[in-house]
Amino acid sequence: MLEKRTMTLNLTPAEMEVLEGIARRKDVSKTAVIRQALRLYQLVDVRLSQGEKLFFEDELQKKKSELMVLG
Amino acid sequence: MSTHPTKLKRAATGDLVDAVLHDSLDLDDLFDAEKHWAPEKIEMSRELLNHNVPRALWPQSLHWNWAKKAVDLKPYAPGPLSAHRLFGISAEGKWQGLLLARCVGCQTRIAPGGRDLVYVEFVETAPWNFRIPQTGRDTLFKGVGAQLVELAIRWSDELGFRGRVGLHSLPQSDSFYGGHCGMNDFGPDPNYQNLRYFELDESHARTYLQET
Repeated sequence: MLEKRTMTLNLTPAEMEVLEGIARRKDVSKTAVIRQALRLYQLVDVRLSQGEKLFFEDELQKKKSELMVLG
Repeated sequence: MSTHPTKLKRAATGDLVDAVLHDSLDLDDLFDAEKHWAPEKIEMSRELLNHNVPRALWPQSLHWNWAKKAVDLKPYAPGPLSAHRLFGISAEGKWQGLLLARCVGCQTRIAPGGRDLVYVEFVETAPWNFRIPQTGRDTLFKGVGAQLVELAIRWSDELGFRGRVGLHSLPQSDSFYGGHCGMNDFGPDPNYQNLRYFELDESHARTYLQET
């Protein structure tokens, strides 16, 4: 079992609503959503810092759009 | 890296042998594995040719190269907070099996969709654990794949995904995932070399963990 640390997270009602919505939709706890968000952020950040770009692709519509990430 | 003791069954005698489960390998471990696996695969290829075994019956992961995978994985930096994680099982000083999984960007195909799961990108047992009746080769250790899949399920559970695991299977492994593992078979995936997609739901994940 990995060591865990506790923190208080202050969110606006809108942010909390989004967090709860994702947790509900994905059937996971809010903590799990935050953890996943951290992983995803780290993954995207590492790739962008290596000069790569992030795209969303819609195979059916043959559409590809670059996602702009503010550093 | 955290490790846990386990046992593997020696196929020839049925004896249980001490083994170790590793739940967070680094890239160097993949080079170590390939250093031992590659010569064995070369010898196996020679035997398959000399016995005129049809290519369709050759182990379908024979061409896999974990050293190459280590190079490809480098930008993703496997580690405690990485989207990728490497698992392994060792016995008698050698890697007996490896599993590479990812926990970001993969969603369940079981309704209701949109829920995250752990996706197994690659899982392979050491070549001396392959069984090839046409060349007289028998498995050295049994149960490697099942224990590696269990590690992926436990990671999914730890992430809050309730044990959900998905993967595309090589045809020779279809019966293992659909049968032994109790995964749901979604059939050939036209977007993934027509390999069958299998997914373990929460209920079967619980059963799997209870039985192993």
